[in-house]
Amino acid sequence: MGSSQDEFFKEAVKIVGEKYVSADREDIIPYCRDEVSQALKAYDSDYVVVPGTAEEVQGIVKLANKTKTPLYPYSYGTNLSGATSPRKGGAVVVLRRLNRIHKIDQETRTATIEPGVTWSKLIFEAKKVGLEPLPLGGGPHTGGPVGNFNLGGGSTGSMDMNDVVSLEAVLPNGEIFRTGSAAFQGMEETNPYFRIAWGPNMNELFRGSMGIFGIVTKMIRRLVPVRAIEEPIQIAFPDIESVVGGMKDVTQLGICKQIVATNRYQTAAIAATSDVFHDQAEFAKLEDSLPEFLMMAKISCHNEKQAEVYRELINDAITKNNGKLITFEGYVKESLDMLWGGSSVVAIHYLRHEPHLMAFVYVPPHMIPGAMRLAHSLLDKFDYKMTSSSGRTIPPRIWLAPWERTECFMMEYDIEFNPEDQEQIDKFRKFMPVYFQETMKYGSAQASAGFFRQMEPGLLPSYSKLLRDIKKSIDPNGIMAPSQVFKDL
Amino acid sequence: MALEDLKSQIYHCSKCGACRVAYRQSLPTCPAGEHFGFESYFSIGRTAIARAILDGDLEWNEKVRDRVYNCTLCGACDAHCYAAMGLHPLQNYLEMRRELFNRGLGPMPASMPLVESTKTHDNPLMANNKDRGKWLKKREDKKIKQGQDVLFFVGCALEFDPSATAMAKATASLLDKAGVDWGVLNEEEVCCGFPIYELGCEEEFGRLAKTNIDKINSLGVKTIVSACAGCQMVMKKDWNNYGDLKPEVLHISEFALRLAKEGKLKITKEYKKKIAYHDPCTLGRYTDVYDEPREILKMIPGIEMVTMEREREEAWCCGAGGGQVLADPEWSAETAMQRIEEAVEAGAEALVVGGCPTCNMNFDMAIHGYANMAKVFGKVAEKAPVALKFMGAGQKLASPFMKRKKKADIEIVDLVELLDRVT
Repeated sequence: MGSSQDEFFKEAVKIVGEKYVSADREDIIPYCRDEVSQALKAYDSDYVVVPGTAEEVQGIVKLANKTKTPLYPYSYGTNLSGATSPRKGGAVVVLRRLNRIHKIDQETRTATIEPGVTWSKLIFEAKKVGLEPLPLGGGPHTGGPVGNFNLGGGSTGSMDMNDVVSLEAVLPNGEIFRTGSAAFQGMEETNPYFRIAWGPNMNELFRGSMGIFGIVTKMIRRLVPVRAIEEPIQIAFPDIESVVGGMKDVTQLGICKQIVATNRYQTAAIAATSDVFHDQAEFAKLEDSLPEFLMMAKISCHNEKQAEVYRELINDAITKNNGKLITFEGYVKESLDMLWGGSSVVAIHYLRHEPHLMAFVYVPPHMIPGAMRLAHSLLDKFDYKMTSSSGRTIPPRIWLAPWERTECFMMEYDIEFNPEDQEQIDKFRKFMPVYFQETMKYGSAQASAGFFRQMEPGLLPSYSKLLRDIKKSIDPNGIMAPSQVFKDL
Repeated sequence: MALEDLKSQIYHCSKCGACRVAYRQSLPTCPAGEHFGFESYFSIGRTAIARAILDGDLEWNEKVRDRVYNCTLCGACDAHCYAAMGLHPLQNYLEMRRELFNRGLGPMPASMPLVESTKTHDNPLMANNKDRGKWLKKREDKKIKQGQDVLFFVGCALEFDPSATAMAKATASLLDKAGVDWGVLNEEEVCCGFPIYELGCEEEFGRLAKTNIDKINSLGVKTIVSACAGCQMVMKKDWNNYGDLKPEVLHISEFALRLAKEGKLKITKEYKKKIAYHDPCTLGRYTDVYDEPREILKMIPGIEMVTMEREREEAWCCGAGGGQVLADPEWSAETAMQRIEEAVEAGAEALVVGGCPTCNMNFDMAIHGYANMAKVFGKVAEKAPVALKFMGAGQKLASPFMKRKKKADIEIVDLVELLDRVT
């Protein structure tokens, strides 16, 4: 436990001000518990620090080196999967005060943002000038793009894999580091817009790094235009094979801004108002009214003529996969349409069920049905039962999305547990590592619930060694997010 | 109820953060969280603290108290959490306040005189309860009689706060203009209990609620009208735990609209200004009265309504609720200033408050300083250590607008007073 008498505390106060440092457990605990971690071992930090500028972040990092205090970055704070748990004490570095949108540049169609900027805020501000970020649809818009980027594979809503142009980070030694053309001296303001500066694209060092290589303090990410016609469309599919085929073919047309699909139970959770969600009979009716799988896409184009062509192309692609266009009325239509619109409410409806592990696989489309069958067989093996608000026993809720647009699909499986039922929590804890081990055979990355660090033995030794060497060389004191990615570093 | 009974709420917080951000405009929703900076002052953090207490990970203590009581109870978190997740986190902190109060840890010391006064004087302002109704020209004539239909429940602020008495007079005037046969309880009215309900003093609240319910039910009135958002809220919602209040309860905005639609209240004069409407938390989020005030405002010739960035469920609190106006007047006034600035930015020439003396007082503090606070709280504030510095010479402490050398170029007017002007 930390104390206000510790050197770290006293020095941190000088850097960020008394108001923004605490060693009180009442302040620390909220940063150290999240949805999934409530089923797992709780880790507490010794302090929480809330810097307001990149310079203050630098000061804290230098202090951490001096006092050998581990630091765990925490951006806006929608953490669901145990990935920000401070495993070795130290300080949680909360970045929510770095909440500036420095620039939304219409020429380059980019936004320069800090880690405290939420998806919702970025969507709201970008739309004022006719732009918007991808992803849209799904994901907790109350969280932020920078946090999602750092969490990488396994983060929710993080369909932005190629949308980061350049970034600024505070390295573990406290120095400022910039990527892309911003790495050239004096270019951080003039031209930070080219992704590759010299040699490899160093953005990738930070993607999914969970903070082990430094703290990202600024990011330039791509935006896309909001066009004259932005038309959400919904397509019903009878089974997993059909929906995956339909998604693949529509994705390959290259004409939709974003594409996701959900199974019946996920769709119901997203579509329901809170009143319907809490009405067992009404919710059952809603579930019954929905197709087995629903694909949601968005036509984005300049005029009706173009839209007509797009609709025809999409119709051809889905028809050959047993899909059919479907329209909804009332609150269902409103919710499904709003899923695309930056509403932080609808975008997080999918969290309304029991707390759950968002178990992912990232695989080529043809492997998705097999991965689903695998998950089902494991659930059967564990006699793992989940119920919906209708009171029915249901299969897990599913999200499907083309990851990196085409090569791989993401399948998110929501393995729920009742946080008041110890027996189910125990079952969940047994199920989780088995599921991860099995899905690793698919080559799938998992950041959820701290499983990241358990995956290293499955990697090529050369890959693991290179990352370890980088970590050791830039963080000799091991202060940045120890034990988040490597068990022992 | 105990915190244990709210497990299903507390354990199901997913930490999504919907409670922190206005969902349509993506602006802050939580005055406490934004001011104090740590998650523990947002709903998301208070719920984590509640969970830690239930799990035996934390104990009830003064640090918990500070995080639970430093909250305006505006309910924005609750509205957002319900829309997103279907949960009501506000119940958690109200229950935490009750628990802290019962353990002798709450409320904040500065708010304790309100509780003591309510116990000894039947009102939170240490006023003589027998003085109720003194603002009336013919006090005894207006004492409610058996068989009268409408009771005007005046409330402590409108009775004893010199700056709010105008609201009482305006309400009376409106009722007269509409030909309503109305009366008041005078010395038989006791505090509605709202201020101490917020502070977690359940037992005393129960006594007040029951006293009022028994008296009102015995009169056989059909309708209770209140011009105080806080009074009408507890009458509509929380008194129900202590008895079956027979008459319907209406806020003045609801009643005035009804009278106007029936042709009994005639709006005859213009008010040629651009106005923004402020939803008091206890009127809007707590009792869902959003449309009626707007509807009647639109009936006033000459009014041009402008929209603030955050309205209705998303409205930014005035900052006075939850006991904050006495416990931390500067934070309260800072929060009020942000709301006023939002109205100014929207182009409003007047900010119309929807029938709430507390909002009015706090907006006044933000603009003109704390002098009025001394008049309102008088002896109560003298007993409140934090508020003391705002008393006497301290009344000249600079308001948030004064500190920033800004002029609030806007009129603050309560809905009921505005309606009285134009009818």
